[in-house]
Amino acid sequence: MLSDLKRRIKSPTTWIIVWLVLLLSYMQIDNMKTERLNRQFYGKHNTELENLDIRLMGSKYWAYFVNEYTNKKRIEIAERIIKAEFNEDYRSYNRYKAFYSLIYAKMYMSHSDRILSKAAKMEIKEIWDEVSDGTRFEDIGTYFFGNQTYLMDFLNIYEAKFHYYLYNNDLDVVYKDDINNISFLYKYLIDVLPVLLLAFPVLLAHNSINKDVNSGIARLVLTQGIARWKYYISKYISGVLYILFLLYMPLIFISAIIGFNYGFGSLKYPVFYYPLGFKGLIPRHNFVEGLAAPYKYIGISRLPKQSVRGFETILLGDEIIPFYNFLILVVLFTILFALFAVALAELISAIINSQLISFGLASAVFTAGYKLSEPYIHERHYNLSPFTMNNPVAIINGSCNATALASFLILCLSAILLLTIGILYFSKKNI
Amino acid sequence: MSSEYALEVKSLNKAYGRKRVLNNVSFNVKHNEIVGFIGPYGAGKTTTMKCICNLVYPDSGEIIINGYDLFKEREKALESQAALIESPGLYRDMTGRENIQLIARLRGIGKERIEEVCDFTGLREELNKKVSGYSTGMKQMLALGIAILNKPKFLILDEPMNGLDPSGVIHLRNTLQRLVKEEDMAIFFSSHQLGEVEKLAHRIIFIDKGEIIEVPDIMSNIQRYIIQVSDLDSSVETIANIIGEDSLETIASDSIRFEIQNQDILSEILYKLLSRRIKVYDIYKDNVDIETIYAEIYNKNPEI
Repeated sequence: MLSDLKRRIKSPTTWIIVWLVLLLSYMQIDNMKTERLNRQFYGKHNTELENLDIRLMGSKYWAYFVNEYTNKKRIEIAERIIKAEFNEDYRSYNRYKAFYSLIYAKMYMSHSDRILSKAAKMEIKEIWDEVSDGTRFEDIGTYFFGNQTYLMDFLNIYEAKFHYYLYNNDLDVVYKDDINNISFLYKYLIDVLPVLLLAFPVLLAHNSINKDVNSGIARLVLTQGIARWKYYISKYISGVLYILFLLYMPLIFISAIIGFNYGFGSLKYPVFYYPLGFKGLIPRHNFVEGLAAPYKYIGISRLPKQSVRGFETILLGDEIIPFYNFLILVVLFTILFALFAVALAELISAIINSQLISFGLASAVFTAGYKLSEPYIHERHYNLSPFTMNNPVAIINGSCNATALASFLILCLSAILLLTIGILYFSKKNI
Repeated sequence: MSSEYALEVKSLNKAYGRKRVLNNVSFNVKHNEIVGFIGPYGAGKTTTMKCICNLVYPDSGEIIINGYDLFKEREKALESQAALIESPGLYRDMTGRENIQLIARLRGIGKERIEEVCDFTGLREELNKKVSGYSTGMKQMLALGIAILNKPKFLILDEPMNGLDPSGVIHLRNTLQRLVKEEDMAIFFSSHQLGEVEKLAHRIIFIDKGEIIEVPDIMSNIQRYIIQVSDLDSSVETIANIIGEDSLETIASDSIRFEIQNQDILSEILYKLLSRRIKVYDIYKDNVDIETIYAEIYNKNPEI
């Protein structure tokens, strides 16, 4: 198995793919640079909302909706945020920003839905005392939307939690278009990895068995008294390891280079995920389709949105984990998808003797599998297709209509099933 | 497990769809024996060999290798055998040494044996070069070296002389003979080079249309002679008295063909004939060569 892996790594294909990954990474960095040029705010931190608040100070519009104390407090915190940003005091910036978001969360708290209102209140109160400088929760008024529920309070709670985490861990904000190793990694994992995860098994495992059969290597190895199932599994494991090597080794190298050139981000940097996805099988449905801007970014995290009565807001239930935990989860789901995809590609390669036909068939199966299942990622569906579980970040943040637990089970069972079929078939195959 | 035979094949049957490729094939190979396997293309040679190596599953039949039933104790049966079926399967993008090391690791073979095999291949310097640059003969020797890594007691070779130049053929023949002598090995090999089979094999098995053909054992010690004499009747009587009527036949008005086991009997026959004042005009060996048998069996010219 290790010898086979070593041989594969040494092959020219490996280095072509490494160059391809490097090229994709370069394009990714270029995209980030363009995004940064088109950034909507100036300065290190985004203080657009605070500036707007101050400009509208005394406006009748605001005075009409919330009490005077709330308005004053909000403006006071906004000024502190701008001052902290000006002084590059990121610790104060995050603390005030957390409080500022909590004030907004309280302002937007639902009037009509008691359960949501209670949930929001609990979430706000969790960190209120830590950042409020003695301001009482009850003194901040609420914004009246009539009977409608917009969930804007939760969007602000997310922001508050994010800044509070940064404040607590003494970290500065990194936005999605800031170039450092953390933001690059996140963007790569969410945009590039899913494509490579579908492409690599087809490109690299479609001929894992039939190539050896046609070249006589399988005959040489199998006549040495090595059990066929052992041979099949060793090819499978080496195939999975090879794909993981090609996915992650260049990435480590590129991240290091970006880190040295643009700066290293902390591995404790906060990233959002959906914790309930690891505990249950019923997904929160993904309604991003049809939205003008389907995702909300907080720091580097991409969070799916939904439209509630014409208002775009966030899906509920997300929490924060450190980047290193998030990375471990991404690697875990990458491994799971690779286990499934390589098992399928290897089965095709065991059944079809022609390498060209097995490549064509593997391409067709993966493309059809993905395209046919793609609609189930969105709207009110239950996504059970392993082909669409090629985006570990989407699985972890619960935005593919399958929970992380469901994905884990589906990918594991699919891999075991395909591997068993492959072993049984290969054990009886005439070579 | 000790057994009289290195290989026993009993009633092997195999069909691909409706096409029957092996029909009740039975034969055996003794220890330290080199057995040639001959048949035209499509006769069932490779399928038989693949069945023995467990690369193809027969529909029925029994294969016992060094006393182990291939279908009941696969790993033990295959442990004591090695095979080269069709073209040698080697990793072209690896060096010869890496190819040897790879299989050695699979079989848990130590460095000492790897070095022995490297020496055996005779490719000492070339072993550090990629296999893609090897000639057919070099690949054959490397594959053979890999095959004998675990010191098998039984070696199966499917057309090992294919693509070799004359010096390669001679080298391979000498190597195989050395393996039988020094490594105590039995060899079962197929080839279309009849002359080489005759030179190398102790015994030959013929196959045609999936069936083993029963032929006289041409590789045995029996020798055939044709003698031309002056008095046919007296000569027949004299020779029959010595070797029996079954071992002779009249082939012309003055010629007799007879079979004997050793040269001493020939001297006795000549002595008796001359004692009875029968003139012997000519005497010559009439041993049947493999090409003649091949032509007789397959009713066509030998494929060379």
